[in-house]
Amino acid sequence: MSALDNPAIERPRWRKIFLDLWENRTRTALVIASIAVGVFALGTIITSYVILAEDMEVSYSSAQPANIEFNIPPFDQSFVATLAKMDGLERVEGRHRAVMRISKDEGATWETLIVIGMEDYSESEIFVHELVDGASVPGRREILLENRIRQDLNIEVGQSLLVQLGNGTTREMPAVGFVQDQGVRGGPNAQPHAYVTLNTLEWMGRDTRFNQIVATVSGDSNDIAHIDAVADDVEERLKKRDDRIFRRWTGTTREHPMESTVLAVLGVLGAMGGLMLILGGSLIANTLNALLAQHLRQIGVMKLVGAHSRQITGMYLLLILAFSFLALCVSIPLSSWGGYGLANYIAGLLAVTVQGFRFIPLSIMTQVIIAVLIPLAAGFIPVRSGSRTTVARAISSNMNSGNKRETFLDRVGESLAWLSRPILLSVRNTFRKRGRLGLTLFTLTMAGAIFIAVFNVRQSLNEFIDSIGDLFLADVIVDMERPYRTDKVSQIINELDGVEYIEPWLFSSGEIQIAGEENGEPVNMLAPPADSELVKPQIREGRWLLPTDDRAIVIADMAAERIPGLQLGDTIPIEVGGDREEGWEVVGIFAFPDPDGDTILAYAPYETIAKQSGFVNQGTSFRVVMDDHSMAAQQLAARQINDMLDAAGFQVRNVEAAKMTTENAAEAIGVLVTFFMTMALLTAVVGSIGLAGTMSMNVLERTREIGVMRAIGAVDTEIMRTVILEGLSIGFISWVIGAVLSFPISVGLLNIISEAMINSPMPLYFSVSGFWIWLLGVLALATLASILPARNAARLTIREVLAYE
Amino acid sequence: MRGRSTAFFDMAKIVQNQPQQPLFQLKEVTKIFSTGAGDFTALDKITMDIYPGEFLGIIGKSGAGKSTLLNMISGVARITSGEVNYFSPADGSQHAIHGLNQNQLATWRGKHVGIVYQSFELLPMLNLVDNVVLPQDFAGFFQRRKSRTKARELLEMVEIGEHSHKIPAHISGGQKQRVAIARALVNDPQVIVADEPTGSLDTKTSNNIFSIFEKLVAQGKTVVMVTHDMNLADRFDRVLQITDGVVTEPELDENGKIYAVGHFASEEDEEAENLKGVKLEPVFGQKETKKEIAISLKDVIKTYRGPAGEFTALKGITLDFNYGDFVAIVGKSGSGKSTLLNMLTGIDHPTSGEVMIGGERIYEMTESQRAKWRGLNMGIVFQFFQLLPTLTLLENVMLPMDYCDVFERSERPQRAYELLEMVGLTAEAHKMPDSLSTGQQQSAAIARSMATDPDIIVADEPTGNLDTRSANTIINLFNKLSADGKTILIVTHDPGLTRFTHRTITLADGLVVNREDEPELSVTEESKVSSTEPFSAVQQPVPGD
Repeated sequence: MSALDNPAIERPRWRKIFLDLWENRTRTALVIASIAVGVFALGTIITSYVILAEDMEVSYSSAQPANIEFNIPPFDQSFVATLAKMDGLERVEGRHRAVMRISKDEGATWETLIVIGMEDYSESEIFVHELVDGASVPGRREILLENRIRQDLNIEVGQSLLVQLGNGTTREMPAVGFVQDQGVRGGPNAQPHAYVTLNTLEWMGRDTRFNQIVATVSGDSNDIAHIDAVADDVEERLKKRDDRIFRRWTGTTREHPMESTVLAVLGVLGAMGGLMLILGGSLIANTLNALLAQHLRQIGVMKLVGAHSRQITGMYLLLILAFSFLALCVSIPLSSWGGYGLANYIAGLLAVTVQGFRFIPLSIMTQVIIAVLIPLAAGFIPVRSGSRTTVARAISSNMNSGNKRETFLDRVGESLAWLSRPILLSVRNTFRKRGRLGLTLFTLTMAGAIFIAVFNVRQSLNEFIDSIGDLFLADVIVDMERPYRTDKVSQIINELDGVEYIEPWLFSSGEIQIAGEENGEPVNMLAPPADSELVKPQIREGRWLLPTDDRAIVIADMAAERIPGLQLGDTIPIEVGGDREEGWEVVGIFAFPDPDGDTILAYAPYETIAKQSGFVNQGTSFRVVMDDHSMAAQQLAARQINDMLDAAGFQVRNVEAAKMTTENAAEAIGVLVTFFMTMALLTAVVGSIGLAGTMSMNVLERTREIGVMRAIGAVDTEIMRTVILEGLSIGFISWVIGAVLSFPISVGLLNIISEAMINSPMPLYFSVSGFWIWLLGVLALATLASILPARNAARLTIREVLAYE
Repeated sequence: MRGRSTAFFDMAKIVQNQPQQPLFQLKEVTKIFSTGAGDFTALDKITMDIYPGEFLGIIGKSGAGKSTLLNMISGVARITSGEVNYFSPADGSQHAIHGLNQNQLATWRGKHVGIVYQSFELLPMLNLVDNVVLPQDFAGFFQRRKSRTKARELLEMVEIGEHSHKIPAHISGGQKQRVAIARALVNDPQVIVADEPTGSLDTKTSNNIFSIFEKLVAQGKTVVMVTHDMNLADRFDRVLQITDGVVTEPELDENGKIYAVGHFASEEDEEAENLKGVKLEPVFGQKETKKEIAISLKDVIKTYRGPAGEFTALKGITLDFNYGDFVAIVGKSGSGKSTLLNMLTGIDHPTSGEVMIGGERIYEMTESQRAKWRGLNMGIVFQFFQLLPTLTLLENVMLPMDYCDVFERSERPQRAYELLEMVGLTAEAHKMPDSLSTGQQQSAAIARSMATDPDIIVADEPTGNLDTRSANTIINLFNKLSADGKTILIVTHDPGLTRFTHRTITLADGLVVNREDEPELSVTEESKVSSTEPFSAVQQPVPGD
């Protein structure tokens, strides 16, 4: 039975609606696409959002996460047992946390890993691993790896890896399995983890005592205040034992540490999806306006044979609902799969496991509501005015009023009379259908503004990465397990060709004492030589260190948030390296984003720290400058330096190409920018569909005029030029307005992203290339959008044109 | 028994057949349109009655106000002042049509009036049955089986039952008009209002359609039809004439015939026309023109092929036009005039035969080359002016110069001014077209047609949409141009216009029928074979027909 035989559409008016949909499939497809793009985008984001919000919680909770973590000096199992008896703690486990390097084989790149050592993984009840492949528990002299490293190293279960021990020697260990560990902090950028037993750790020459406490609380493990109170008690207990606390972290059982960041980013993407929907709405309004204009004569005929305005309104509203229904048929399955895919991808980055594919009712309901409401809202005015048209006007098809008031745009048009008539025709035609132009410009302008804003945000993020890079200006950074004499290390490294110079840095941790508070703020103090060229932080206030400085520090701006009333020039009490507390003068404050916000970073004079720690002429970190600054050269040098130092018996913690530091951050930002760029491109697609639709409608409505132009001597190229120039005019106007609008949008977008990423605003940088690329893009889109209608117009013969109704 | 007078028009019938209670009563009906050039009175205090069961013909030239009057009767457009009352024959109730709102009018029309237009106005996506049933759906009478059965019966009645499941694009113009009549009857209205229902049909089809209306009247329906076709006058029960918005009883000549209607109806009308303010200047003593052949057509046949079948619009035309000729091509709608015009201007290809213009075979050129050639050698004046609405008159006139790159750029404004001066529009040079009267727009269109100084000017119904005064102005302009040696070809259905031209070529059903008047004219043997297909030219894309 064909659709037309269906009694449900027996009435001729409903059959007309069905046939309007079916007979003009191109237009139907255009309207459906206009609705579906925005609905799909928003549906995808909502689906992702809900899946991640639900599954991150489920996945995180199911891993039995710790509520409290402390990194402290080494302790043994008996202390774990003592802590376990404390009120408020439900379960306590001790772990050994060390930094090691592994490699797939000799000559391959060394990767730095965090190696966790535990007594018995099978008995662990905090941050229970989820098995991905192979064994879930490592045996003696076996290593279990976090799944994220699997692809990086291209290794499989059972494959042997080289693990570098503390004394520089290597051991071969089989990778027995891959797991997901939700205890890993830092999201996609975190260093990968590996897991061994304590006796393996001993075999590797490591201290087998613990240095990390992980614990869950009894009572409400989702009440952060309760958790903090318990953590305070634990901290008290640790201090009584004279333990220094290197790091303290608290969190609830339900909320994944990255959840708010992920959901905030998804929120921004959702907002862009919403905007796209509004743009789609203007597109729909334009198309429906044109449809109603094309149907005006038919409306006249229907009214002529007895149709009331409300019957006509009902017919066209039903047509809109049919468009909505078809758009939903496209958007619901696509957004469900798309949303699940996006959620799965993000979850993979965060070591979270999402549950199986499912339809999200909230997403579907939202899509249904917006797919119905937006087109109805967009189409209501054109439908209402179309249905109220008088029969005489509809039948005569006379859309032009003879008594229009002159507007500003008319006067602009008049002032362009010096142009040649064909060009003048294009320019004035641009402003002819003002409502349509307005809607098209709105769509295209917003698309452009978002596109440019995304470039600006990308530029700002890159600048941010660069600002981090300014802290690591050397080519190779060599971190040692303990301080070494500078001359000895330099002697080895200088054997490498291309080394220009080497700078020794020292490192010391300390605690800033805050008046009236029992607990201080941990601070990591880096000590470069005062005249170092290898660190150029962005000084917000004050100055950089001078060779004459003694106990002077340049402190990260986040210290101002942590230390009440901290100001430039203040002398603050710092307990450095467990020594007595001394006053340090704050001579500068530099910008430093710290997403984790655990420890304050500060720079102090090398000489002062060296004297204080007794490591004069020594360094814990050596910054090497090469004559070739390329990434490849840096990586090669890093490998070679590592091998040379290993061979010479130095205990190397990590040797890394400096560009890798920023590369990792850039990679994460790249993912984010890709999301935004995708949304911007989708918006541009909506914009160009709008422009193409507008140009088609313009040409269709001016078919007769085009025939007249041909009748008075216009050749194909003249006609095409007239149409394309009109499209280019619209494109250019949209670019100008879009460029202006991109400023506030850039600020807003960057603020949201930077708040989500680093909890503080980033400075906005403008990308000139964004403006130029969009100018070229919009002009290309305008040309493309105009070229088909222009070709169609040029192909029309005058006979067709004059017969056209 | 409905008798037919042997006289062309029998006035006695007007009185004899009038019943007491009118169906429609029009009192002082006035319609004024506001245009950019000021107010235009389309209907001027019309008072008339229409009686049940009569076949009323309202005859008038284009632009006389016929369609406006029909729109007032059917409530399609609002009257400016006066009253239109409808008295229901069923219960005698009175409906003040002028006081109803749009929805009330729609309800009233749906129940009481069936409307048939020249352009059929069928919904293109619905099949014929659905088109016919549509008014029942809107009026709330729709019943799934009954409505369709009735629609099929009506389609059978208008003899198109076998095509009931086709869509309008797949049937001929005459067949479409039958469907439109069936649709008009589906709610069993008392009155059928028809606006030039045969205007775009060939002679045979027109007769068939007209016969249907006669049958309906015989069945007791009231039919009000407007037409400009004088030949139909004797078939109406009653005829009224409308001229420049005023309805009068028709004027009869000594033979009882109605004077031809049109701007240039007869020489006797000239004095009256001159009173309208513009003196007509027949072309006498024009300057010597070269007698070379400007346009030559040999055995030109044009056949359109469409879903409804083949239709031959031109059936073998052989004609020559000399430089300096002022020629009227006349004929009824559907006779092939506009198709011939399309051949003469290179707008459409002949199916066979040869067209030479200025010694060039223009159909060997590409469309683009032909456009350029046309711009340089031929000026075209359209019935609806077709000035580009976003350009001023001056810019419109300069546009062909820009396209064809003739005259120095600096000279173009001056030349455009001169052309506008020639047509009396210098004061309006910087105005947009829609702020001008229709006559002024047509004058500007003529100025534009002269922009590149072409030898040939072709005008398609140039006075068809104008009032008498404006029409006179336009004809005078053509007179002047002809006197200046331009070749002027005018396509018109106004036979009176032929008095001002050197030659007249009359077309009927694709054939030249006045060859005895013109030695140059000929009809090929093939063209003598008349078409047996009742297809209309309008179903084909033939402009203006």
